[in-house]
Amino acid sequence: MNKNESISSKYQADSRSSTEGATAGAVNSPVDNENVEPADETLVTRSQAGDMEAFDELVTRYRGKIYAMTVNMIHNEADAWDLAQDTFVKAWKALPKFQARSNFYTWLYRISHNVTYDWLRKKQNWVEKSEFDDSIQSNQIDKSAPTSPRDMARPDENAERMELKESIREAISQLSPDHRSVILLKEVEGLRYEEIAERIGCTTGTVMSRLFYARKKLRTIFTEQNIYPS
Amino acid sequence: MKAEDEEKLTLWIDGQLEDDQVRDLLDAHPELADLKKSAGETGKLLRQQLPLEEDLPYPDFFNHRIRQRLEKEDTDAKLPALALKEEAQLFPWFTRSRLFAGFAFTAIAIGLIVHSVLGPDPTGSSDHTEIVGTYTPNPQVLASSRYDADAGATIIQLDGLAEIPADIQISGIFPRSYLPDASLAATTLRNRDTNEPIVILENDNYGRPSIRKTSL
Repeated sequence: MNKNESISSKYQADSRSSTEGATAGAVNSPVDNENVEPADETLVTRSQAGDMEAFDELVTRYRGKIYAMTVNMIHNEADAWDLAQDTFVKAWKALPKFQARSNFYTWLYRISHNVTYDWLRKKQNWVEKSEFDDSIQSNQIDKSAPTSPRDMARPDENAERMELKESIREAISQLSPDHRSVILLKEVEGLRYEEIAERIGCTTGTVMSRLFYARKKLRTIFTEQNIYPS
Repeated sequence: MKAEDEEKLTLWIDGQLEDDQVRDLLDAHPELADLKKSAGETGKLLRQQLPLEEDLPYPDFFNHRIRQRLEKEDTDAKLPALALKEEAQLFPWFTRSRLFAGFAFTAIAIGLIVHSVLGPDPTGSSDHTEIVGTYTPNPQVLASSRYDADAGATIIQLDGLAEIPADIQISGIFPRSYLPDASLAATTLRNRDTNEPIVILENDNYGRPSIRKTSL
């Protein structure tokens, strides 16, 4: 599959007949030749042999995706940066066991998924045990509050867009982690049910069930908060 | 609602089942009638607002930190084993070359310079380091030295060593002699990032190469 074909398939609606695993990996796995970046497989093989430069290239290639998905999951940029780091460190350690049964990004995403879930679980335990409520995060503080840091002045439109993005992330953070991950993989990454199941390690039926509830819940939140365009 | 019904409704929302195929479910749950439309709008908003990929802050530092962490963990895993043996045995790394991988080989290779003299040639004819003798505990490794005028450096060449992994970052080799006893020479390997000594190799009282210090 060439790059253009794979990109166009990324955003297609679910098609039960499309090829398994054709989405993310192919987009990021250009064919090896002198003028093109090395394929994931090449970099993975070199990394497995201890070549840290090759691994560095893989980090550069996927850090933006891992970071974005982590921010979407945990709604906190600083922690997402750290968790993305943890993901790559764990990936390096686990590389000797990677046997390319799935494409590299699918495998990497699964590590990221586990890292994020562990973090959310620990955080949840801490909140439950703590007498303090840290559920109010800095990005929830009223920006007009006199003691809050002020952003640079920006056009109204930009501010509105940022506000909408923030509202959506806030809405997503109200879902359970299970529901969050499936709705993000379905709607943001455009994956098919089977691909989501492979990414997070569950059955296709579970994915569909979680999607159903995530959509219902988001409908309620979006409606209550007037997020839907009028 | 049964799991099977949830799956059917999800397929319907995603356009893979017609309205008629879920009519009984919609009749039983009229509140779901507009779910297909709202799910479409939800998905559109998510795709518009949430990036699939995002520039993360300080991207170069991000990579650098990962590399630092990996190198530190790698060294942490190796050096304690080296430190435990540092005073005990003659060439302990030799029997554990697999365990210590490239690092030990590097250390051995450089620790071979057991009879080097630094500083000006006593004859005053040149100002380069003169290697008066070399010793390699591994007979498979051959050491030779020469002065490269273009580089302005004395080069010690070791043939027969295993390849050093690319993830070992050593800034340089700092051989040093204890004049007037030229047989007591030391070699220091430093961490490229911190410039801290990692390993100091020197001869023991019997002239055998040994690790004097390991630290990070």
